[in-house]
Amino acid sequence: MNMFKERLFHPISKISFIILLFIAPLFFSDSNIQLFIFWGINILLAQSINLLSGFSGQISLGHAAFYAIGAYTSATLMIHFGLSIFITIVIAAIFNAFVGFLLSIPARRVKEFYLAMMTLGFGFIIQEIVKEWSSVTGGVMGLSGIPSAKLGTLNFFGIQANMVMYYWLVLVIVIVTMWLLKNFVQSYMGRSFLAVHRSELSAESLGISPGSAKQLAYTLSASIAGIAGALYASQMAYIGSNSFDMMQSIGILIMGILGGFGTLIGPILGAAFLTFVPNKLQFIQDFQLMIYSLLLVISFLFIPNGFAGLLKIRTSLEKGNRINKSIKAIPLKNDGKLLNEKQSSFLKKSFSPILNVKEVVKDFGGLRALNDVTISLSKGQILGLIGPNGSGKSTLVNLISGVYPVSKGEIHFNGKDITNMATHSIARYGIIRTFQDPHNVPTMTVKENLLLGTHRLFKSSLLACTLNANHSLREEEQMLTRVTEIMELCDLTDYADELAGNLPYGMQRMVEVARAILAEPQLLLLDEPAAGLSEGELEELNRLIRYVKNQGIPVILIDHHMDFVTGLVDEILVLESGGVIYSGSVEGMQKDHHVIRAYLGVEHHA
Amino acid sequence: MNKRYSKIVCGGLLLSVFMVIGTACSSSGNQVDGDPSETIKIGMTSALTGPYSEYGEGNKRGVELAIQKWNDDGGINGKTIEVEILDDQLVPDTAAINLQQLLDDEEIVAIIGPAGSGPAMATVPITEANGMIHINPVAQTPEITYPNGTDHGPRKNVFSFALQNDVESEVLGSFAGEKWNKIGLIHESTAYGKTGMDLVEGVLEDKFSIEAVAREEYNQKAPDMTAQLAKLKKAGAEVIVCVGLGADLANIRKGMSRLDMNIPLVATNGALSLPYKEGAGDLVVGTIGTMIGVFGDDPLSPEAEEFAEAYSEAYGKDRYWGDRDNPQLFMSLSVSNGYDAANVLFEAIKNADSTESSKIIEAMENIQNLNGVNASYSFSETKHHAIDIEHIGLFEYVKEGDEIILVPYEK
Repeated sequence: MNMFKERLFHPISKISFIILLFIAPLFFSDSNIQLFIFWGINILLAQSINLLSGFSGQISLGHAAFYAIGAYTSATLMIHFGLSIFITIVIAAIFNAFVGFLLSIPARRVKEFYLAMMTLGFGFIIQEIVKEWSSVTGGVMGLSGIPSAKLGTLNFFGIQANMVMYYWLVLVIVIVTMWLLKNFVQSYMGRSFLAVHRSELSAESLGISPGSAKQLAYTLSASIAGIAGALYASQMAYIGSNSFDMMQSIGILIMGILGGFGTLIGPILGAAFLTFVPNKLQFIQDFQLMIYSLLLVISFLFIPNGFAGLLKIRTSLEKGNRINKSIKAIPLKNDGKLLNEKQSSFLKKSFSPILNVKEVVKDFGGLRALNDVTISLSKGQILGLIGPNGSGKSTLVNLISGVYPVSKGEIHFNGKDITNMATHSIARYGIIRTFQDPHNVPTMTVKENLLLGTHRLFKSSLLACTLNANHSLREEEQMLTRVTEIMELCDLTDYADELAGNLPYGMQRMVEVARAILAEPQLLLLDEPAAGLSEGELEELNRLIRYVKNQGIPVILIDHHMDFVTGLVDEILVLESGGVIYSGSVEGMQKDHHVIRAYLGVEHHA
Repeated sequence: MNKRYSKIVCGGLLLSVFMVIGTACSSSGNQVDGDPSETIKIGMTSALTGPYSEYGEGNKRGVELAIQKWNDDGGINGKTIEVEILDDQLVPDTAAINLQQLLDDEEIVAIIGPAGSGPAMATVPITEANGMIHINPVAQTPEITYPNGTDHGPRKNVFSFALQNDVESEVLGSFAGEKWNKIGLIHESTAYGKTGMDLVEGVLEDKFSIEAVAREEYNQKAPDMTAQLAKLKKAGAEVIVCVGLGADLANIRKGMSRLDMNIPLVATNGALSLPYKEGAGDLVVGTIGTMIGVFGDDPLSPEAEEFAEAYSEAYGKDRYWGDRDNPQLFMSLSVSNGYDAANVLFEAIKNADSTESSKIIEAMENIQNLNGVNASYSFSETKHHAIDIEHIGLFEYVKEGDEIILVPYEK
């Protein structure tokens, strides 16, 4: 199977496949060329929904609306202004991107059922507009006379285009779109889509803004659907409002799901299924709808991950293969000087506090979870946070990282007031946290998860990422080097290409901590990193935290594991019922009778 | 175990996909029986399955009956007629794909088009560019035949056997305008409903200087039309005129009953369809509808008699036929229109003694007073539709004993 796959994806077989696709129409009849053109259009639609629902997890039940807008935009521009199809496709894409952007403003605020309802409504609204705005859209009568290759009314640069030429146009657009999409999903932006899909909170903790990620997803997805619509209008020569109804939206969704969401090959197969199968099932006449539906039910039942899942095709989400493989040659180092030099010199240990938490109060309704807590932390310092369950440790971490707003008090970091800022903005200032249960993206490999950690360090633009500009590739390479180094450090190299969700619990923990370290934090918040780790893993974690300390990065460490904590921290803070009962050195704590009573165990009186 | 199972199933699935793609490259023109020089082949795409198959399946039967009749009589000038029928489920995209597939088959000399306005609009430009004769048996929108309006010339290659919107609306409008002054209008929000009602409004205004008291619209299959009906009631309508399909009409009729609106309902041919009768039950009594009148004649014309015999022999007295001795009125729009379309087309091919489209079209335009089931057919260079006002009758549901029957409306 692997050999087969390797051969299948070998550049030579890819190129010959593309050449084959280019010369194929010369041997096809017109109707088959038309079917292949529809396949191309369906691929674009399937990729469009794949980007939105498959990658960034935003369900859309009204995707035909974008398709319609693209079709009508291109058609009216061609009919009324005589614009060339090359221009109308671009305008349709841009205009659709704009509409997608507008839709994202309300859509990014809602989730799940509400989002489904909203997109459904959007689909209906657009269909109603198409029906009612008859002066532009032709209303229920539809729009005829769109220049089309099959009628001989379409011109490419003054030359009358035939079906074969139109097929080539569609083919080129599909190939270019696929290439751009591949570059995109393998960039940090593409990875951020999946991170948002899995958990918005975890994505935010790495400096990814879920709002902007969704906005980008809507914009790009709508734009691709717009291109599909423009191609469709010219292929059909006639468009009517019925072509863009609810069933079309569902059809688009089925192509994506059946093919396999979250991969790039899957939607191509899904589109092929929906293009060719119903057409060729016609010979069974009366039973075709039944058999078609049955095929769909069977495939959803037995291959929930679609054709791509069945064929074990997975789209890699990093450009390691694209960039040459010299990275592996970097020698194994273990001396804590792995991250770049600039970082470590910048974070020399000093005694001026970097984090100031001033008299912070947190109320949940009537319950005071945290009462008047003040801490300050200097560079290179590790602060241990202990206390019984419910004493407010995690709440404190959640306040610092912006997950909860504070009720009273102030938090300053590096001289800036970060009180009640959004989590992802706080993360961008360099406060990186982990969670009690690992928040990796289970469908991404270890390597990709770790790359996610470096998200906030990427600077390449959207254009550079999708065009694989040299500097963006270099940037990706740099990050990959760091990932390789940290994997060496954590003994994760052997699992680099394993899906994070398949790893044992302890290892998932390590991945999450390593991911946080890769974000080059200026303050690291570790919420019970040792919970559930084996002895060996504990040692590993210990080494990792010391490594961080050597970098001069301050750490706040929550854990119940007393030996583990006391062995690492410089200072310790003990909480009970939301209040600080001790703050100071470890030795002092062990003698403090408040702490002993509350936490370490009360002396027994006989 | 589960995994292996799913692998097998999926393997099968993929195999079927590839098999299907494989046949995609070789499917055209593989269904030829006999010597092509001895056969004449026509192509048809229609809604044979899916939610709108009523007209398509009926048309298919009509066309097949006509072919059987001609072949029994020795074919067209000695050549056997063959037909290839594809299913478009009334989806415009599918219809366009099917049509291209039919055009790929070089033996096909004429096209009988789809059973609705959407797919018809999606297919006529293709045959028009190609020049092949295209028969429209069902779709009611006049633009299919007359792209620039009925006062301009038709598409050279398109001939319509359908009950055109404008003809139906003319009858409906004239009838309503003659009898009532306060008229409430309601129509479905489709090309059919909208253009039809525009025409009705035009007739009312031009002929009778009547302005409707209110005009409402609804979406097909809307579960409830009470809001629209309440507005019509408030406006004081004495009659409700509707352009719409049977199932929706049933909803309207039931809504009227709920709102206690005891005024007549006058509607397009949907009022005579089975879904209306089934949906509205006893409430249909009093409803008046327009329809091609042929099956309301007693006795039937010889052509209608011949058709009825052939149909009952082939299919029995099924739901297309209805529950009475004679075929129900609606058959003229679902079956006999297809039958007529094919017969007239074959006559033209016979007269042309050629399968070249231009010659068939010429022969078609020369057809005068050819008796068919639905009408006596005459075409010309400027007139490419057949069913006119004189072929349309008004019918009313009346109660006769325990039965509800349709009788010609008595003025």
